Amino acid sequence: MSDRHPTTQRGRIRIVGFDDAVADQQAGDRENDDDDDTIATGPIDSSTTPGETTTETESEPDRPRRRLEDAWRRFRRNRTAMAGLGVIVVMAVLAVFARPIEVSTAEVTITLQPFSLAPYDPSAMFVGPANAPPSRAHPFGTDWAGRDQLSRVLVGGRYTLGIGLVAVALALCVGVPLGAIAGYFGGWIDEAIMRLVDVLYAFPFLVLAIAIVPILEPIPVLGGGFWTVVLALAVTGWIGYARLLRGEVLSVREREYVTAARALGVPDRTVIRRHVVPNAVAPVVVQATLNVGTVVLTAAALGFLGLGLEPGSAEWGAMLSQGRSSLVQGRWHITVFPGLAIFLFVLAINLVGDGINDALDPHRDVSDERRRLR
Amino acid sequence: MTLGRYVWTRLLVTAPVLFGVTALTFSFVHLLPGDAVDAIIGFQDVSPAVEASIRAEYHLDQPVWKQYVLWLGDAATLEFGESPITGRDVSATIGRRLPATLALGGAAWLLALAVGIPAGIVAAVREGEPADELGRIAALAGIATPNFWLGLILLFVFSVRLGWFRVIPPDAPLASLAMAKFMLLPTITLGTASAALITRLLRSSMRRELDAAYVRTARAKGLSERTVILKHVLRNALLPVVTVAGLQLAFLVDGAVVVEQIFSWPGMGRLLVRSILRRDYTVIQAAVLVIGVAIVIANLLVDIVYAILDPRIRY
Amino acid sequence: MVGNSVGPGERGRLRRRSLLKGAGAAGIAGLAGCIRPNSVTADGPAEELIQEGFEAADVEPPFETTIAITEDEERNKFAQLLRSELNETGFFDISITSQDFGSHVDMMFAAAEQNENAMFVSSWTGGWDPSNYVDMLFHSDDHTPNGSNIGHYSDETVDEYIDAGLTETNYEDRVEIYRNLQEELVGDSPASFVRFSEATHVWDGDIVSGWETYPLRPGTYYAIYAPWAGVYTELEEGSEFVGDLGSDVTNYDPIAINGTVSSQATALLYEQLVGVDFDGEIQPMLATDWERIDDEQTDGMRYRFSLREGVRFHNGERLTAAHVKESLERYEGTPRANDVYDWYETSEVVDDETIEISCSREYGPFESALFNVSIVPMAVIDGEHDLESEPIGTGPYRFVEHESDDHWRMERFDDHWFEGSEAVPERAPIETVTLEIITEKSSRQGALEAGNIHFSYGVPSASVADFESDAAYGVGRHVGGGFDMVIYPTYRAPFSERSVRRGCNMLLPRERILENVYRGIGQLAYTPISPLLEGYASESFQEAIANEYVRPN
Repeated sequence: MSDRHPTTQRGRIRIVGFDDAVADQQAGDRENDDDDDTIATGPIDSSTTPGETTTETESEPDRPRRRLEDAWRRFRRNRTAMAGLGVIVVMAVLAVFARPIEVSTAEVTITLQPFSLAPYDPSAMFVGPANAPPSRAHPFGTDWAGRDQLSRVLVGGRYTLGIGLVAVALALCVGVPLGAIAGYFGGWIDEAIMRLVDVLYAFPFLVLAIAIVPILEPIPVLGGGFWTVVLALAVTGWIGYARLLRGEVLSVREREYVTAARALGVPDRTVIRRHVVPNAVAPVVVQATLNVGTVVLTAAALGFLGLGLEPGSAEWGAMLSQGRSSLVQGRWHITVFPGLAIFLFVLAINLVGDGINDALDPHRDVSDERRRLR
Repeated sequence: MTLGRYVWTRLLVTAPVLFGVTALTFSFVHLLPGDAVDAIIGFQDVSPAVEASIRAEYHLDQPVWKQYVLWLGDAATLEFGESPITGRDVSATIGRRLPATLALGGAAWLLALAVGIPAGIVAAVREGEPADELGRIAALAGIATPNFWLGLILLFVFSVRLGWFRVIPPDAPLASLAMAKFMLLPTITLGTASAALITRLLRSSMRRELDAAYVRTARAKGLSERTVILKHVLRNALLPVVTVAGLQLAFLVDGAVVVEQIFSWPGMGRLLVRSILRRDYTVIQAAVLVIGVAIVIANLLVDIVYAILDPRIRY
Repeated sequence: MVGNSVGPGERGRLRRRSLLKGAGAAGIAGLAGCIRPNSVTADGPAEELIQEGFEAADVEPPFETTIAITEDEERNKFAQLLRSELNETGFFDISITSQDFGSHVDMMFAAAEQNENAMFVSSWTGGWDPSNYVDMLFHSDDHTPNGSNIGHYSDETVDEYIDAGLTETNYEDRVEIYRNLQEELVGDSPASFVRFSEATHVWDGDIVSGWETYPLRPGTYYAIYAPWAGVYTELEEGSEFVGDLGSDVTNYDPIAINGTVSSQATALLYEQLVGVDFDGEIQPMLATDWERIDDEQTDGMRYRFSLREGVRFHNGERLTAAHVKESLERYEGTPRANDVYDWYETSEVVDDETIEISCSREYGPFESALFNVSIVPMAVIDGEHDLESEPIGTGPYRFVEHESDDHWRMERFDDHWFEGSEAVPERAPIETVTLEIITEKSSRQGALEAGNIHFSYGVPSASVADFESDAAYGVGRHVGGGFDMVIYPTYRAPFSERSVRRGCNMLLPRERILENVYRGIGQLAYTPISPLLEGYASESFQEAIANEYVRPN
């Protein structure tokens, strides 16, 4: 059950409760089918009077960390999810090491990463015959300007991963706080934020992005199209997280440990930060992971419509767009490789998202374990 | 609360949302860079008198809030004015294009349900078997493929190379067999992602239900597996699908923008993209508004249907 | 803290995320080719010119600027090749800005005012008169936003030549003027001319028998039936011709039309006093005869036109001189007013079949200007009928329907005035003309290959060669009346220096662009006037100019 560690430090009150993961482990061990009425209380670290910092005792930090470790362990057992994660790691590594990364100022050029996996400079033209099909020299063939497709696909990963992760991260930074505030405080704040979300929800993702890109274009700070696309996607993406998180917060805030913390006079923002959000955030994490895929696809669609990155960039969606007439001309190799790359990436990210979902949802997991034990 | 009161509450809440949608639509258009008058004249050299008259005609000389109110008033009576670029009545234009997108979107939606629901059921029931794995992979593949790429490939392989379908829409009324045949490829392109989503959702939803106590009870009662699944589990499992199916509408409009371009389908998606690119202000406002209102209404209907199906939600 | 405590997997992901953010941004910077040695040497005459200009303008290399284009596949590639070439010299650090059409036009027209640091890639469609290619672009009166002189270029000599060219009516003198003008323009290089466009028409040989390629895009479909030009087309089977249009038709009224597609669609519906045929010769159309009748009182020019008898409009009206006068004067106060009022002063209806038109000045391009004024029925002039709902003219075809974004349909007008000749039958062989509106370029090719359309003028350049070698298809190519160019922002340094512009002009990879972007479709351009107007811009003249100003000696 609960661990108790006596302490001689003054003024600290510790509230302990049942840990979901611990309870389930025990439930699983006992092959107890009826886990539906496990008291769902969240783990609380040392809930302190305002101003005091957390101090460590041996087993306390174990509890929250253990929950995540359990989740990680569950995730690890999921073969398809690990496969997805593997693909993404490989893509990320390839993207980073594809070409040297250099940062230059007026005087100095700093090389952050000197390796170059890509055989050619992706923007170097006419390194091979134009529109050549795959060959030994150019395994992915060449495009209209004689650029090596393999290099371009490798480097293109940077844009794709960059856009996907940055756009989702930005959207999370906006959506999570807003959703938490809406759900926690309720009342008119909740109404106001949710009405805003509803209004934005009425506009399809892509339509909003199409409308936003021309608006953002003239702003000089946003160079190269990368940030324009990212911002457009972030602005349209945060609403989903806000709504989802709010829903979860609505149920979490009724739990005992929250009530207890508030009774102790813990300031609202600390309660939100330490107790509410971490316990509500699971579905949002899953959704965010899955959304990286959606964002990438939407960025590709924007590129297809011509509203994307700077021309000539090796971004996969832009490559597909530039090569689209080559399809009807029978030159399949120009679109197949970037298309497959997008496909693989989104597939992998979905597998990972599913894996996270399975790993973080204890109820589901019990039945999985039961099934495996059968 | 009763269903009636719930509906009434939802309606009340929807009103400010609609209002917000109109405000947002209007501000979008006015945030677009460039002078509206230039877009209208097409950069010809015109005398100041002509320019002034154009400005007055489109109320561009009024303060912004007044333009908004004027526009809102007109929009309420479905009077969207004329396009500054073509001079043609906007309501008529939208009126002709909307059915085309509705037909395509509707067909894709039906396809998604027709394919997704059975697939989800099968995957859930045959959990762990090859059918499940196959279904999972197919669903993931459906989500991961960029829809414009899929469309281009389908078009190229089946229409251009094999010649089974036309490349451009036939000259036939919307509700004809020839048109339905042509619509097959764009519908598949548009509906695949939705079908995949519904499959996954239903599968996980049903899996969850299948673990519940009442299923054991039903089985213990001796009901056939089929009855258990179709009559009891499905009904409960469909709830999240209902929610998602309604939200798919926005998703489908997204897809339609791209699919209409590839298949030369004369719908709202193409109209919207083109009018944004050409700064066709009245059309942009009207089109975005129509789409926005349609989605808000669809969400409202989904909420109501959900409340009918699940009384617990009527807080 | 609990909330932020991350497991090993997530931590890795976070690290990856921030690394990629940095990698992405830096990678883009790296890819943009912004890493260059600071000392730049000029190796070659072009670079020397640029260096000279940089020094005069007090600009340090590399100079950062951007190439602004619209979102078009070919334009995109064009810009990439140009950037690559200019960046390699080390004098420039160029990025590319791609925008939608609306934003691009906005940007160009506000460029000088905003002191925009960008070069603009644009194309210009001229016409049958040399003035079409230079007037709006380079005259100092036509600085944006009043005209199309985007760089706000102004040069007295150029202005003089342009004005002289407009008021000169003698052909040989005009040739002289325009040649001098072109040389002046190339020497100054306010814009670099890259390529003359080519009309490429592809048709299904099994259905369409024989087709003449009209050089100017608005006249694409004249080949169907243009008795005044001595051209017509027959079908091997069926009575319906299915062509295509690259975008939706926006306007039906001549005074509102400002896009080539709308002109193409209505070309068979409207007629004018005279026409310019496939060889560039002026031919009578609604006017049968005309002569200049200046007298001592005439300031500018005065012409008398004899009109054709028995011409009917699609709505039954009979053509009279009053129609002509009213059709001319309705341009007043409209966006296209300058089409007419640039030269028109007044006209006098002598009788039903005769009209005298006065020009406010000597005007060289008079006859080809008349080709732009479509004659419309009285019902329109009286305000009874709105051309925007249904276009009505005297042409051999009449309007049937326009399904927005879908198709445009016309059918043969049986009351057309033409009575047959040796070359052309009295009745147009093709009964129905349907133009399918297809915006997706590869779909146009796909539709042609699948047999859904019989003809396309917009097949991707890269595919034209494939069609040429396919015996089932006919391909017509003709140098067109337009060119692609790069406009320099002459309003700001270093492009305010002529030597910089000249240097860039020399560096422009014209051959590469023609070969790799347009697959050989088109011709290299060094001067603004299209070789379509042979007298003014013959090949030998182009060569001479190229040798002197562009090719390094």
